[in-house]
Amino acid sequence: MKVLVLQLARLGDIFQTWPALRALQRQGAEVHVLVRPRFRAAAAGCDGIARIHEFQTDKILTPILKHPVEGLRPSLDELDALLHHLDSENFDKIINLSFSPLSSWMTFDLAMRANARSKPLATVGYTRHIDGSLAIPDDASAYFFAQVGYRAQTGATEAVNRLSLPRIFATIAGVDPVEADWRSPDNLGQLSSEINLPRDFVAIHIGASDEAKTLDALQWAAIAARLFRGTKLPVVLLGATGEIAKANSILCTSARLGVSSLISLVGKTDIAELFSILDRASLLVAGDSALVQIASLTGTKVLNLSSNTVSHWETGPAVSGSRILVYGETVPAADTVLSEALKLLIGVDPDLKASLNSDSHADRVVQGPLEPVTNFTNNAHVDFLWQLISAIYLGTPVPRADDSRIQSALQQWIEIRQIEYHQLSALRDNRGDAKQIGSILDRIDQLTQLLIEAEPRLAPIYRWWTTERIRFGPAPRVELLEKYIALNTQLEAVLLSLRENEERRDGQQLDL
Amino acid sequence: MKSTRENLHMTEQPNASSFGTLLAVPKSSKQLAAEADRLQLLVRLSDAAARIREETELIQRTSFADPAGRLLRILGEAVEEQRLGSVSLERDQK
Repeated sequence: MKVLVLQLARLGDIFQTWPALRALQRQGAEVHVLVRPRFRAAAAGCDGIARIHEFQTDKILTPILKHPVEGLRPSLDELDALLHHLDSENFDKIINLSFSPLSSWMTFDLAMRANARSKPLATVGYTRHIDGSLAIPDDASAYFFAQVGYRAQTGATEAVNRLSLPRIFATIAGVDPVEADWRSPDNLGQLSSEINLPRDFVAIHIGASDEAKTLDALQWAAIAARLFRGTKLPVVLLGATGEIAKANSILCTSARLGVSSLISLVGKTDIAELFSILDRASLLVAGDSALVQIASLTGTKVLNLSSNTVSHWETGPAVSGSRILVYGETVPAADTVLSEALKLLIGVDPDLKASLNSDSHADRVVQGPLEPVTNFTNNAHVDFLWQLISAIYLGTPVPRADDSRIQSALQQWIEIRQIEYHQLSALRDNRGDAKQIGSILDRIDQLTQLLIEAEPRLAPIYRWWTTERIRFGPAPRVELLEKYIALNTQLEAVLLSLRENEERRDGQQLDL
Repeated sequence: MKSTRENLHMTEQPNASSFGTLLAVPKSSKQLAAEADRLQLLVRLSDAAARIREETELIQRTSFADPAGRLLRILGEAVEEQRLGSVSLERDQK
């Protein structure tokens, strides 16, 4: 089978796609990927890929940006040329792992082109219906839309999903990765002669795609100096060309703290070299950055300083033993970082045991790339939300909804649902005034939204329900009505299970 | 998101064929070298987006069974991604 994977996101997302790509290849697929030119190097090292195609944004957009009137046709021609080229590859399946409007339209267009040639083309991931509305054909992408993608849409920072992106990607692709799919390129590149690395060292990635996902220069300097003194290991700074000034600031500040021997490779490495460097590192200390994903492939343990605006469940390190410190307004203290780093370095130097403080500050210790999903943490509120999601999508027991407030909200939603059921049934049976029914259905939509705003613990159910309605797509009215009624009945099952679970005091499972 | 009534074609207005922006593509942290360059790019992107919208309106019935309609929509989405600042055009050229 010949497969095209659309991965038009950034470096970290491409690295997190490697396990799925390898699993696809292992199944016998010829795997092609479409990436942006700037991030091609992130795909180049993956042995699961037969061919890399590029979405050349500059080539496509430059004509219309230079001349909005005369440039429209040349831009369209460039775009058509790319899509024609992809269509000529005669793929059997498109896997869209980009979750964007652009990629959804491209997936749809390729499917339509194949259809025009009477070529069957399966698609998974976001695409479009013939009327242009969003289509989400597979359940895994619907999960992403409902429980992961909503954060980008709404600006919500609370991360409830606990499935990692590599596992979500693999599920969408229809494959089961194994631990061995998290590995370096088969041929690790040679380091340039200018890069002299010590035998054992701690690597620090000082940057990220967004400054909000990493620490500032002063914070990194304090941590680097503390790590150097506390671990007795050389410390190597890593980062991109645009972070050289930041690196210099870190070097100056750490020198004032009495540590003048940090090694900076900031702006001096390409992606292939980063693999080689991290492969040799004893530990990587980093914010929420693509180097965490590279370390997951090289098998390097990570101490991840993770902003609470990012989901470490989704994009955190994968190597067993890696530790995650989550921070909000206050970044972890240098002593805390050292304490956690020492726990990770014990295997490297047993003498460090003497310095070890057994108290753990880590919010999570990773068990491996395919670790069992964690249902219980020290945050009962978020645990409840995750358990609710897990019950809906993974068939695990329904959590208990103990307090009277949520029970009251559930009862109200059940009553609203019953009204909707009667209105939809009347519409289906041509009973009653359609205009009046329409007004009632509008009001039901509004009331439901207000109810969820008042009781946000029910939001995961609401997101599941609204996503399923989006998935219906255009259809004859009678068919749509039947789908709405069926979904209404499913919603009732979910709400009743949650309400009754409080009365039964045991874990029910949903049968959706 | 469409309401129940809209989905069941109970409105008197034409159904919107555009889903609109689905997701905000993750933003890049790298900033354009100068504020003037950034503003100029935004102006050019806005002009491009307006031109694409004009063309779309010229097609009397936007049918996505028609390749031209799809191409316009894809180009529009690519322009919109740039406007959101997700991936800089200049950086793609490196």
